[in-house]
Amino acid sequence: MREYETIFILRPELAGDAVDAFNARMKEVVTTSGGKVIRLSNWGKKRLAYRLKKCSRGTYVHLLYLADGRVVAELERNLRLSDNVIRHLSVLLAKDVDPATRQTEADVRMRGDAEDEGVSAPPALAAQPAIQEPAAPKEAAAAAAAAPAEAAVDEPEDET
Amino acid sequence: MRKKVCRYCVDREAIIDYKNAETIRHAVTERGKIIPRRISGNCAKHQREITIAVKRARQLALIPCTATQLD
Ligand SMILES: [Zn+2]
Repeated sequence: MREYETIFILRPELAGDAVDAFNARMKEVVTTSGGKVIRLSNWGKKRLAYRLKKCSRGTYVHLLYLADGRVVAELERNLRLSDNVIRHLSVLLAKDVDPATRQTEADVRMRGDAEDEGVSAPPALAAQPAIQEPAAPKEAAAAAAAAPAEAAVDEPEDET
Repeated sequence: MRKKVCRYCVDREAIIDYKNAETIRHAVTERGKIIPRRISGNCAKHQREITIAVKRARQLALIPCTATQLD
């Protein structure tokens, strides 16, 4: 089988449980069409470098799996049809991978650089000094390094 | 003028990963354009990897496509 990774960006409005449910469904699409999921990583809500479908933030999800091209096509079809997905990208990482040599790993959850601003923030207390923070931080560059380093694979190729 | 060498050939630790914006940030200009090989001195192989990585990162909105892309 071939090793692929697909990254999709979900609308920022999609809440925690809905994100998990959607991700579980996508894993199922891979599995039921004959693929083997290695790992699903939720990178959390991140600020987008530019707007996509009027969203300035999005939840990044990284799916690593073994499959053949048909499975990728089926997964991408599902991603395209979903209103939750604002962008997706699939990349071929390696050819001729023996599925027996790759174990399924536990899901990974990371904190993005733009977690629910305003939603999870504690309500302002009257006792607190009235210091006005200057809007949202412009650059959240520090958290941009949160992307995971994948196992080194020679010469990745584009799929699709 | 000193001879430029490919920093990715010299430094094995220097990785190129489209998923990690930090690893490709210095491969583009402030305006977000890919720095050409004649300036950076990268070898053809690594420049090719950079180009692919930058384009993928742009697709995923991890890095901007242009200088003043506010929306
Ligand atoms: Zn080189």
